Amino acid sequence: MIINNWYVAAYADDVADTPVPVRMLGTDLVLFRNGAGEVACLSNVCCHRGGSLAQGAMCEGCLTCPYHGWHYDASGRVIKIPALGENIRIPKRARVDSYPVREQNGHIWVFLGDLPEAERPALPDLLPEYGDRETWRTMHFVKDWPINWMRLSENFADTFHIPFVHAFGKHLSDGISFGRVEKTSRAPKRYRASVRARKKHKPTPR
Amino acid sequence: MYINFWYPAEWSKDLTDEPVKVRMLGQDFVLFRDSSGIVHCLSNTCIHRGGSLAGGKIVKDCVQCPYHGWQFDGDGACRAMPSLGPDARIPARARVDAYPTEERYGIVFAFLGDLPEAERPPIMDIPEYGQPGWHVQRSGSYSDGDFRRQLDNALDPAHNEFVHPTHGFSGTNDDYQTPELTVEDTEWGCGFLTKYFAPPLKDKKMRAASGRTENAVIEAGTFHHGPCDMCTRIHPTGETFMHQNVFKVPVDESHVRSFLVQTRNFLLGAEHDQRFLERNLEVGGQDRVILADLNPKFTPETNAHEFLLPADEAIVRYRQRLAEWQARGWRIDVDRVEQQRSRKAFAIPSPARREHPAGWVIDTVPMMESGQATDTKVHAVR
Repeated sequence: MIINNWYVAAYADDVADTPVPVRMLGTDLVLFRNGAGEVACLSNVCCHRGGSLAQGAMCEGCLTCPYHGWHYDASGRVIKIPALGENIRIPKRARVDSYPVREQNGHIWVFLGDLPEAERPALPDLLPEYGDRETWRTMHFVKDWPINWMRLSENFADTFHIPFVHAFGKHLSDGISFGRVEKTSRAPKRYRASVRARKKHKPTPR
Repeated sequence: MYINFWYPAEWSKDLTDEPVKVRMLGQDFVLFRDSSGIVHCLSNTCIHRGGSLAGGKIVKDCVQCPYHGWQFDGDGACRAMPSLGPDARIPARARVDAYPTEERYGIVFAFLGDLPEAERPPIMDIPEYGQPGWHVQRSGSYSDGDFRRQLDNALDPAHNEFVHPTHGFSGTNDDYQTPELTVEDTEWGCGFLTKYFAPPLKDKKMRAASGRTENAVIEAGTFHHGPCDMCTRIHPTGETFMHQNVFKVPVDESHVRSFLVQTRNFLLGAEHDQRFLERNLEVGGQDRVILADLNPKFTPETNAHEFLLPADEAIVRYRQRLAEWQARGWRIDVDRVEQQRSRKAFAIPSPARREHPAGWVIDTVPMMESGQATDTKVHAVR
């Protein structure tokens, strides 16, 4: 598994007024919206005694630990420790990791890594047609795959398996061929496998 | 998990005329009563070919292996090997580990370790047990998790406000502050009694039972004894006392069996027991939700990877004690046991091994070396 990459963490609509736990790269994280409605992503482990922050409640834009009520802001800093009362200086070490977040196309993306902003890869713009409701219909679905991520990614990049693995491939009309691999200018460092069809497919009208 | 302490093995009433198998500290034991009513606790593994003794019968004050009928007496010595005939001389090596037992508070305790009698830590005392004016209520439970996380939680005065809304509050008071803590050391543990701000209880019946209808400052606190036992003392008023004496035994690293002996000097009739039981279940359930999701699952090996506060002082001292017991060679090396699981049987060393170190068939569990020094610092934030 690779750090320093943008990962999609949730649908934006699903992060509202309660914290949402997500597990990515084998670690537990929590998403929540601060008082301004901006999404934050923190490590889910309270630095005090390991409480699961996602079980906690929101309080004045902060996420509070369910175990002893420590308040975390969107930057991952502890800004209140109820057991110590008011007017105490909270040490800088009282913090958890916080990760950059962007909302795009109805998804929440989290940058899991430590690269400074200038060096981060751009947020992938995989859906330039998103929002074009005139000519495109959008369907969402989310699925947990109990398999290794690399095997899955490679499978999606693999056109040749379609007629063997997927029954629908056997029923495509003549003239559709699999397996022509082109190098494209859009993604010069990658190979895009294209399915070439004689007829141009029109999108299904909404 | 630590040897050389008394552990609760079974409720006395549940040990009658059949052998009973119990798992403690990751190993299996067999408990049985002889004809005079004395309870015995042996390692459950037959030295012949590994039969589970608890699957057999009690014969002539011995437990008889279900596989080939070998009989072991309460001291663990083999008394009969049927395939050799009745007159066979049984070698001294033909024995299993036997552990000292004691019945107290309605519980069969077994001393799991090899210390001679004079050096053994005592069973946790309940001074009011059996005294007039006190009622005793027992209940048991199994739970997932690390016993250290459970003891940490019991020694933690700062979580009630957030985890236990049944206590009348739930982290909503802006002026909330954890009470000052004076941690007191005992011979085999530590703990504290302190003053808590306490609104009247939300549950009507409990509110009436507690005798408190107004905001008050009540006395409460917890002491631990050894690695696994604890007593939470709750004094709803100056005259009403309830003590939750809990004897715990790690079934293995991830499971705990708890024997609760509650003593109270109010609502003495057994007709009130159900109400207390339900409340214990509710409060215990609130803790379990939190403990189930702690990360890591087990208490960290060093305090350096937590951010501990003055309110965690008793927890820090508890962990210091654990480190001391580890330094004495009392901590089981769970990883090495696990590596050989299903391939090799182990036994917890019993006192007889001190007298006769050689000639045992089953090896003892590997023990951990003295651990790294525990970071005992708490953040002095005040």
